[in-house]
Amino acid sequence: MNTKNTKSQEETEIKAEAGPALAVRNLWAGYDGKPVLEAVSFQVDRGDMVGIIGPNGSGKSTMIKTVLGLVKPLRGEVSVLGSEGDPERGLVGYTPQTELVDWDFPVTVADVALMGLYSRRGLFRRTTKEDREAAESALELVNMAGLRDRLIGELSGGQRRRVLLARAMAHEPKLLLLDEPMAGLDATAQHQLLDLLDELRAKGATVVLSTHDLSCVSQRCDKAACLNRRLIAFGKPSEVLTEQVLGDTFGTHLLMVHLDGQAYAYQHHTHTAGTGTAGIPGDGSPAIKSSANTATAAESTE
Amino acid sequence: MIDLIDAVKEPWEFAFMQRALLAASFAALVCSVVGVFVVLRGMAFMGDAVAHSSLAGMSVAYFFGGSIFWGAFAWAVPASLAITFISRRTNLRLDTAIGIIFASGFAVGIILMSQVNNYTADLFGLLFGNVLGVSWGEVFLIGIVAGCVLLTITALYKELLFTAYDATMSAASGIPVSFLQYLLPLLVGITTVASLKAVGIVLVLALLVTPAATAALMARRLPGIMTYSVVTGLIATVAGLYLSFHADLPTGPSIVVVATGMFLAALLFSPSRGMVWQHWRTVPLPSE
Amino acid sequence: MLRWNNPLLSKRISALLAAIMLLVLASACGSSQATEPPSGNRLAVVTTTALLADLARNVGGELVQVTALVPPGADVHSFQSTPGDSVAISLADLMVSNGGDLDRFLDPLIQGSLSDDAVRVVAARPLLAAGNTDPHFWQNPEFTVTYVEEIRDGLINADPGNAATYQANFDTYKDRLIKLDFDIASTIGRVGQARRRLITFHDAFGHFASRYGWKVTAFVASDGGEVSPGRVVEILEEVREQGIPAVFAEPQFRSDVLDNAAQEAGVEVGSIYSDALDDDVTSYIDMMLFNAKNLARLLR
Repeated sequence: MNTKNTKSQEETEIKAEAGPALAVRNLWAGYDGKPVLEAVSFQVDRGDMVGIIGPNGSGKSTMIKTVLGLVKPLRGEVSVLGSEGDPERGLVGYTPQTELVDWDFPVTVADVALMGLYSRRGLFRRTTKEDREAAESALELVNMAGLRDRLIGELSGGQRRRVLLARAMAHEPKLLLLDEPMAGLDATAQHQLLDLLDELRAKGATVVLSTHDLSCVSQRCDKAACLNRRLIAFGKPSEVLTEQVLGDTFGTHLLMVHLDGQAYAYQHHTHTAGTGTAGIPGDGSPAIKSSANTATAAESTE
Repeated sequence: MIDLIDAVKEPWEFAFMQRALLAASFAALVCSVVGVFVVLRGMAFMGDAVAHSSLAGMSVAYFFGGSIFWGAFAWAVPASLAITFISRRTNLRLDTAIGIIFASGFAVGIILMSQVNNYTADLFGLLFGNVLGVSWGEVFLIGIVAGCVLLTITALYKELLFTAYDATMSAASGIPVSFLQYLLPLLVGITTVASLKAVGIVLVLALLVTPAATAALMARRLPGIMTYSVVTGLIATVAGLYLSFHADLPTGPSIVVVATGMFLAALLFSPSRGMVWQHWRTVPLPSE
Repeated sequence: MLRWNNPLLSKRISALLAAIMLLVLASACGSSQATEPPSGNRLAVVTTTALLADLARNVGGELVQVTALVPPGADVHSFQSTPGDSVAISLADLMVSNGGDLDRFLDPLIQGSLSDDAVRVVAARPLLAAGNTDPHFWQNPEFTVTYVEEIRDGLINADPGNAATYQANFDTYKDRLIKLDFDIASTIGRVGQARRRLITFHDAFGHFASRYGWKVTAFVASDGGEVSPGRVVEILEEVREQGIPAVFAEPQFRSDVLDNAAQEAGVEVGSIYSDALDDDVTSYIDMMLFNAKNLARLLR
């Protein structure tokens, strides 16, 4: 099994300026002293887009929060953009899961985008004209400038996601951490979001996202990280997303779904057959497709 | 018409009404601003709890002949920190932590007050406050405390806003979220204490919540809500004092009644969210 | 087509709301009857309680206009002041309070509003100075004479021109108080020595008891305090053992604790007044006679 990072061949225009964008070494992290992540090690090259997949409770959000410095490692270390310890705030952008955001809060799209620049101005300082312009161009980039005066509560799911993204990238971070950016988006919106992420990467950003969507990882990501408390596998999607790995990653969850009834799982499989695991070469056994898509269905209904 | 002008001018010919106006306005001002955060974060019960629990501090001060204000203050600060601490460090929910602090402080207060000879009258004084008996020194004190709270909020406005909206993201942006999560309840506690003289323990919650709730019906964005909240709070104070003076009613409750009236008016007639307009605007479905 | 969240419209509606507020205010003003200014050139006297007002009226007679802050029938202990009270205080020539714990809670109000040229009388001052802390001194008519002396001095101080009238009124009223003392003693003198026990909710009758040789037991030591369970048991036992036929409650304290205890012990609950006058008992002297007659009737 490939748990080691393999150097990306395609992306040549992005050079490693000073080491990898993100390096995680033997990381143990969790809450109240109880580890959720155990002995996780991997490395993300600059300009890459990495998808973290795994069932609920597998530690995807914990992984992202640890990189952000919101969760302190119990053991091991995380180095962001070459710096040890707390990452430099200005260099990292983050979008939380949409359900964790208070959408009834009386702020507008423009207000939220501007919040992405608060880290630039320290305590007691007001935001400046440049900050407002930066927020505005971030909104333009996510195609939300026209809705700048909307209250966030009046936005659709895809628009909410794009506002959070605008906030995360308003200060032009080098590393973007996105917690479940695809959740709740329809296929069109997902593709728009992924296109947008590609644009950002073309400008030199590195993207790490967590998702339940295997097709997104297999089609659009440079690397896949299969996480279930331990890192089951890390590497190119085409090499990593095997029956064995997916079984190890989603294993117990699959059993439960099978108990629920074959019909439900099968139906879902046919529904998403077009996008399924088509990107995995030489490994298209029906069992895996079914498993993978069932896992997607099971997760998203939770 | 001359009657009306007299009615408008008459109350302010009395020094006690001038002091009451200043004290109640300071209290309303700071309550209206802090109240916006209270309403947005669902912290109303916390303000109420700090007010009630500070009866303990007031009783200690009363019992030993100290200043009621500083007694309440000395109790409110640790009480609001304790509520945050309990809810953050244990698996208890915030409302549980609030309940414990609320009742324990109030119980200690009643036990102490029952040792005082003129128990009921003194207790009533603390529970309902009496802005008519406020001295210039107290007006000054309320003004200073309100000013400090407002300065803090102005200085940390963007951080408080961000943390109130999305604590995780704001922590990720390097904002000292823990500090702010202790600070906001503390500001609520101090605001409560500053307002006790004006409306008393029982009604301080109304001053904290009603103007902000009214404003939330009138405006859409946070700055607008703040403005409407302050305007509502100040109008309620001035109108409440007039009502109290001319109809000869207790002052604190009069202010609260006017504020509630304004809330009801906003509920019915708010330009964007009023129930009356909403009813009118409903497009009838085509008949089948 | 105007949208309802049009900012201009929103301003207009705010203005409308403000106008409605003003109208409400104006109508409140129309019905205002906050205070009556003292009529003619009568001396404005403000007292904290209705009882003190009765004493002041007796000494001041036609020369004074007396206002009580706590209205007749209301309880001092749960009183909420209004601006009218503060206005009355600020217009007073003479301000009379009882002193001690009884009306101390009104001190900030009085200090905040009383004008500098007004005369301030604390009726119980000489008695409090002697070290007695129970502020219900008037339960002993002898002490009431002291109150009245203080009020007379205050009136003379505020209105020296009419000193002779105040002195004459004082003399008349003092005679009535002396007669009251005698009447009370003879009325309750009919109660047998063993039955001279006044069991009541609130301990306001200490001075009465010591004047007439009674024993007073109260459920709560302080004014209107919370009752502790041990005290109730103690009193119930005493009622049973001594065979006392009645306990007493003040009309303004409708005490469930006392009612229940009385019911349990199978004794009657009689009325007694400590400090609040009402429509049935309109003057101090009436109140004291009412108490004496009730005690005599129910305990004899």
